[in-house]
Amino acid sequence: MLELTALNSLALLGFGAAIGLLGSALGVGGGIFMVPFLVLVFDLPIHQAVAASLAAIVATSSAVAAVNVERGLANIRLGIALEVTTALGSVAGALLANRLSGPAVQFLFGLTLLPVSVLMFLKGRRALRQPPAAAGERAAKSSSFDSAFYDPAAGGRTNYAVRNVAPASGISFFAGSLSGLLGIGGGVVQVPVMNLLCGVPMKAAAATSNFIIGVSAAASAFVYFRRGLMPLELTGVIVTGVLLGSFLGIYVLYKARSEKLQLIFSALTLLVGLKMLFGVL
Amino acid sequence: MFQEKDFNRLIQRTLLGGVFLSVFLVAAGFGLSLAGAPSGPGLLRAGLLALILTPVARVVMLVYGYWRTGESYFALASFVVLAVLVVSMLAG
Repeated sequence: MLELTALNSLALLGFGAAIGLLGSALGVGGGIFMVPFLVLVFDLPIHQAVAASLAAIVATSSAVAAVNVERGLANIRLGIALEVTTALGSVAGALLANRLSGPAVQFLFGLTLLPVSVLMFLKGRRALRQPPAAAGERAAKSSSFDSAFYDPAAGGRTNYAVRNVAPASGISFFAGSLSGLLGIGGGVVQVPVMNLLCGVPMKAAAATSNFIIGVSAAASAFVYFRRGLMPLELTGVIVTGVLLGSFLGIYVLYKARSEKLQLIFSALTLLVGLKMLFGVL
Repeated sequence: MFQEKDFNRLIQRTLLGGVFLSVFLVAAGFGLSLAGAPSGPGLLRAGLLALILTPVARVVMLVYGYWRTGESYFALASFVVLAVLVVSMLAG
């Protein structure tokens, strides 16, 4: 058991805050950074690291979603629709975890993220060069998923139509199964799916993803918790840091320009994808 | 009349309530542990459990909210999510 000194408690608190900030701004839980950090820096066994990371994801998701729901930034209808397949996928992933070889999953995961990061980058750069399109320009068939939010960075209300919910649900199953397999929230898949496939603006996609990942992480976290794999003190410290960072990040997300978030996100997915690929090759 | 605004507020309060309860228990757990009280670790454990159950409580509120607004498709979707969560927690 790791001895929690004042110094490494402070380091954990700071790292948690950074993860919370990142998570709330980009709609990811940060499990993908949290797990290697705890394993490599704190010498924690992988299962305990995953357990602590899952609890941290639940913390970011709950804190950020609370505020984003009130602002209308998180699309609850889209979120719950995608949660159905995400939750099923998460169970399937947990069941599969023993049958599939770890490197095979990791390879697939890394391979999927590379084209996603390129698409996000191109889209974000194009949008930065061109002035934002007038609201309601995409007069698509309206659905009950369509929504709108007030964007202070754009200086007005942004309306958007939601497309391709059925294929997005299919991919959410995949995102959920990754969560069950690797102990991550799956936001790194959900955000680009909603943004690129469904046409949800980046901010709303990040907020909705944040809303979704709490559920998939909670299901797995409970299993670890019950088996006594969650290091209580360490998790308590991290969760406190994550919550501090999350509340700070909420304001950063709200004010930042969507396109910049897109570029940061594409860099993040590229980094994670490469890390995963190099981990197996 | 149960409106979208009430619904959003309900979800927000559920999430914040869970988070604050958890923070309170975790902080009390740490405090008592430092003071050498035997109940410290128990409170810490309860705090983390409260955190993990917060998203579950949120899904329960979604079922209730969509039932109240009469959006049966979304009420059903929320219920399926809740069922999957409960099954995976009991079987995991």
